[in-house]
Amino acid sequence: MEHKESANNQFTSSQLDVIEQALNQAKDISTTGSYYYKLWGAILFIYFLLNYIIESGFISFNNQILINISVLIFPFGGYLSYRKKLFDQQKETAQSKMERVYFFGFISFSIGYAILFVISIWQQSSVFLKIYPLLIGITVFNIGGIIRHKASVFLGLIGCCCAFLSLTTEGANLYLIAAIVSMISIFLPGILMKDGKI
Amino acid sequence: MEKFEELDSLLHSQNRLAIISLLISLDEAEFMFLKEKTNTTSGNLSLQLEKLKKAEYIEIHKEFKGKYPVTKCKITTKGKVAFEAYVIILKKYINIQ
Repeated sequence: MEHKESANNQFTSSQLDVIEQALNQAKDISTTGSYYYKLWGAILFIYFLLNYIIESGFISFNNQILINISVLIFPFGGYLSYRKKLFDQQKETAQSKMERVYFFGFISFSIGYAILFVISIWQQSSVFLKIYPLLIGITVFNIGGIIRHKASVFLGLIGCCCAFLSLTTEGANLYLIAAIVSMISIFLPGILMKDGKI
Repeated sequence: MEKFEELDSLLHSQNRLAIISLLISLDEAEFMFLKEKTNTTSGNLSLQLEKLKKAEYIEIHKEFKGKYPVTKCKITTKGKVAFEAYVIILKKYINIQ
């Protein structure tokens, strides 16, 4: 009887060891979130900063070059993202569930932002700039909470708080706030996701 | 004396349990990944995957990665339920002991 109980004990603990080991191995799968945070954080920062320079009239020469750069930077970002996706598809042998969290998190942000952008053009208002810090802050905050990345939660919250400024500001300064928020709430969390395992 | 609930016999095998434990925390995994992580042979892994597929615990599909065919595995809802039930019974087992 004692012998049977000890065998059962061994069996149970070895099964648990197998599960624990497998779960730990699965945790070690790298995700590409860090790359996209850094890339799109930088792109949005440059876009908003260029628009701030254009709108504020700091420069006296023809700013058509800056307008062109600010428009072309998005297809460039799309191209880099596409290349990264292709490269990762060739290399990765397993896909983490976190990729799905990033994907749906940022797709929901993009849909929301696109709707605001259309409304802004339609009503000739700057609502898409005023709401931007809140929208990106909530997205980064939520994703940070799900992937358990404290820096994202904190920096997302700071982004949300910047909405106090953007909602009470008008004109070119809105672009400056948006640029700062892109740096704080997108680029910085990307930098802080050091080992790419989140 | 409390009677033990029966553990899922399909998950008794440590290889199959490792496969399901890996797949439960991933979106999907390739055959080579599972082979490397479970430290088993291709033949044995194919056999275990086939058994799990037959029980509808996993889905297997093949696709091309460039020029090369790859086998991808994904856990099903039935597989998730079976794994969770297995862990619950295992925990009860420990508590009783």
